[in-house]
Amino acid sequence: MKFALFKSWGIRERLVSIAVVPATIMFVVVSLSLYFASRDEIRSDISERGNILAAALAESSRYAVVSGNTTPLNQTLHGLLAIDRSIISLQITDAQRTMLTSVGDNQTELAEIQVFERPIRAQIPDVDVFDKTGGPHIAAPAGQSASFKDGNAVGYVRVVMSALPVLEAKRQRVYAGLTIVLLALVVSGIAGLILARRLRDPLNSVMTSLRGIREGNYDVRLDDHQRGELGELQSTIVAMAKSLSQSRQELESQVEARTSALQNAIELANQADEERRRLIARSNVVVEEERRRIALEIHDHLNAALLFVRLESQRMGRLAALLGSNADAKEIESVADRISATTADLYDAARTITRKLRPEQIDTLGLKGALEEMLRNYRSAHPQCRFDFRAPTKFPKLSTELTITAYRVIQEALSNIVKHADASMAAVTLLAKPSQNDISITIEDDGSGFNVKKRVTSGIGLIGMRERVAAVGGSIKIVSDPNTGTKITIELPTKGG
Amino acid sequence: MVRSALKYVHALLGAALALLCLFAIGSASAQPSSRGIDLRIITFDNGPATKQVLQALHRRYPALQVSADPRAWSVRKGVPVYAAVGPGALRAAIEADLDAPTIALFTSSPVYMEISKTLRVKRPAVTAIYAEASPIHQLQLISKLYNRRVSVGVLTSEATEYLEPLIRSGARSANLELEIARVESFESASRALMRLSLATAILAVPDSTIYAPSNLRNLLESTYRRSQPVIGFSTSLVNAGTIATAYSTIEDTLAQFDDVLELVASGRIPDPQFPRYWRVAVNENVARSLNVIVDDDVRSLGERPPEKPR
Repeated sequence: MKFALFKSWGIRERLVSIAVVPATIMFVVVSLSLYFASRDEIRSDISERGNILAAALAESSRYAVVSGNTTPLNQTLHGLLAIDRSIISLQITDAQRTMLTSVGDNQTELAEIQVFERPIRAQIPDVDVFDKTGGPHIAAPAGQSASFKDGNAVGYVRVVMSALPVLEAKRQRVYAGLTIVLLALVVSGIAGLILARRLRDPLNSVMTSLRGIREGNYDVRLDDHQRGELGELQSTIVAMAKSLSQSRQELESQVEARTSALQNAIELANQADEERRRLIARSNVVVEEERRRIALEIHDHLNAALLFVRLESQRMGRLAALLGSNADAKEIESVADRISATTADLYDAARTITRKLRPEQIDTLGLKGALEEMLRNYRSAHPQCRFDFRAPTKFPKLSTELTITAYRVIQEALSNIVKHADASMAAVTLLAKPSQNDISITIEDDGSGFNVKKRVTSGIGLIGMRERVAAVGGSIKIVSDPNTGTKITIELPTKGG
Repeated sequence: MVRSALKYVHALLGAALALLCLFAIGSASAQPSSRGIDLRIITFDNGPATKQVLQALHRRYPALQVSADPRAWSVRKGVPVYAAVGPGALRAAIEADLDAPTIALFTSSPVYMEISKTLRVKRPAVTAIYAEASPIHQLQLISKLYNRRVSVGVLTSEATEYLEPLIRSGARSANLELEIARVESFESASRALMRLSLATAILAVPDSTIYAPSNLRNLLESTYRRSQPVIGFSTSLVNAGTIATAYSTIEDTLAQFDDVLELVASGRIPDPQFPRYWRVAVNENVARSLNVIVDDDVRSLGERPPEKPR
């Protein structure tokens, strides 16, 4: 986060900052360190100079104090005051502290004031001046130079100094230095910009080349060839572009070959699928035809035979009844009744098998009528579930294959509902779409639902439904989740397929 | 050429004077006590200067007697003569009212004059060989130093006004202009010195009311600032900052003392006198600073005592 700004900087900003920031930090730190270190040094220097100045003035002003001629001394004091800005005032007094001469501001209220005072002492030479005291007066004593000793104070020197002017001068020098450094920084910044530009132009050409490479243009040409690392980078990019171009051509060749093979495989798969669909469709047709033939055989021959047997058994019973009431007659009449009842049961079973093999309503009433009959049977067989059926009044007549497909699919769906869904409501909706040349079938319930992804691979019924729909070129969509019911939408083309 | 001839004549005069002295007091100088002089040395202290003087006296007069008390000698061995070394000893000798002549040695003329005035010398008379060189010699030195007629300023006080006739005479002899400023009792020497600001050089006389240790440095500074060389009056002053002086060494003084002693022993008391023998001391640094050229003629100026026969 804290380096986000730095990360967003370009080469120009980075180069300028490299040229300016370290030098700035170094100068500021060094200047401030020197300034603060020199403050104590200046104070110490002022103290030392004040003592030296007071001592020197005490020495040099002795004659002026004694003689009373302070004019030359006054000139000297003015000269000192003009030379040294840290001197605030200089005062020379006699032994009684009467002011003899004074220069500077005696009433200063400046801070950092230091006062240095020294007595002006008379210098007493160790010389025999032939006074009246005891020892002999020797005109030629030994020794080469006379020594002096301090006598009484004949006056006082008072030096008032302040470190402020020197500190102010120091501060001004720091400011001047900062100004120079600021100018140097500007120059450095400009130099950085120029260098950045010289660096950025080759990098821009490199970036342009890289963008071209990213967009697939591997024909890289860098006219402004540089030396050093930049030149190496440019050469590397050119070489990389060539290598990428070759790799891409090889990959494209491989992809082309793989794509061709894949297309062939897809075509073969599609052909196989088509053949499978045709095969399934054909097998369905054959199965349905065989069912219809078996149902017809059962209806025409078996049912007719069973009906004849039943009629004969009934006539045999009636004949037995005519024989009287003997036991044999009774036995014959009873057997005849049992044969008639068994034959009736067989007849009903044959009719059920016939209906299952080939509902005759399909051929007589069409899809809508056959479905209405189917749902009536479900309502009567499963009263715990409400079965709704919605269809347009005039539902178009469909081909036999399409009708059988739709019927079998709906039959399988309703069978699944009663077997697995534990639903309280199931609804079948037929919808004709003449403009789109297809019909839409929706079967939905409020049952337990199921995980479609799991059942897709495991449910045989669902697979059969898909196969039947695919065989006629239709589509099927199953939407279900556990505890939310199931909705199956089937689109069947009325033409083609 | 003239200078060489003068040197030659000077040397001849010096040799002749030395021979006369040898004839006159040769035996007394060699053994004064043996000719009946009972030399008694009175001292005031036992300082280095006194010891130096006594050593020189012992070399000349091995049989002399030394005491700080003038009344210490009760037995006479001959004609008694007292020599007072320094002003303290002179004062003690006079206060002791001695009955023998006394010769004051190593006492400056102003101090001797003051002691003489204040203590009224009784009998027998007291004489002296002053400690400082004669103003005449100092003026000769100044004349030789400049080799032209220059003006010489002298500060005197009431204590040294007696020197003024001598100084005037000396200035005339040396062809010098003279300007004497009297330091009054109410004014400082520095102020009085301002009145001599036009003088080429200043002659300092041993007047402690003018040249005191407390103001000596300031006086020398004042003259230095006005480029006025100061001449006088001892080598210690030369060391302190005067340009040159005429002076007498202890041996010079004692050589003269031989003659005076002989006269006193013979009953004649000479007047107090300045040293007869003298020489020159120069402060080369001061001379250079004041641009005063000091040649060998100046350095060799003076009069040396004759060689003492062994």
